[in-house]
Amino acid sequence: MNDANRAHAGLYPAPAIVVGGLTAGDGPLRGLAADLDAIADLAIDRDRLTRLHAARRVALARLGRSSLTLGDRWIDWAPVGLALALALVTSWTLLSDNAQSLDADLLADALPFDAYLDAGFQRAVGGDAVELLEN
Amino acid sequence: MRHPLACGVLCLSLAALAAAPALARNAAWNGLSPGDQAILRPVEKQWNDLPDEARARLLKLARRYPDLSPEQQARVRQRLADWAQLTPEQREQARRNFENLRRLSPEERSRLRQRWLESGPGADEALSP
Repeated sequence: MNDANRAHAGLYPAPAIVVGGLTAGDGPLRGLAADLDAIADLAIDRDRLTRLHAARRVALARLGRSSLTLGDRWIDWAPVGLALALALVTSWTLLSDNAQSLDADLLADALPFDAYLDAGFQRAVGGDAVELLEN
Repeated sequence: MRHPLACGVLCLSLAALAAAPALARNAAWNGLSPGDQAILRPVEKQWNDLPDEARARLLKLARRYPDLSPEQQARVRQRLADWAQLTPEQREQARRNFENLRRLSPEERSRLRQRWLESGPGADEALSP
């Protein structure tokens, strides 16, 4: 029985030995992590489960954070991104709504809209030089 | 589902995106409600040729119409056809000046309105601050 088998059989209490024995690259570690995940789902006692979880963490750390945690990080940030998108869409809708309401205010105003096209009036309210009605 | 919050926010975003342009997209004259048609009757002939943005604005106006005072409603009815005849640039100019006027103090607004009503268009000196 090799070290890994002994560890699976619970003969070795220390998980570091199991992980430390696998040095042939990511493949065995991925397999180990999968095995440990499967074992962790079985009904085993708490101490052994704790050791298995610790072994899994060590194995995942050996695999490198970038390859395994990227997906998890994306999932974690997805709600934030979507919330921002929703906020942007809501803001755009409100701005658009306000802009569209402006016409109702303008047409219902006491001044006829001719006033707002008048060059003198435009200067008086501090607008830019008029090109429209001066010709 | 692992991330119900993400799914909820995604659904809300999609719903908001879908609802935003719906107002203008479904705005052929025959597709308007009888109430909207009654208010927008003065622009019926131009309606289908108006750009989506202009139709959306007029529809918004129609939706706000019931909230206006009778006096304001009369003004809108009277001015609507002429308003629709303006070029988009003229309408934008009028909106910009209207907004500029709203930024002034109430006293200044009142003074300018009164001067314009008394002096009429082109009375630059009367309107000078």
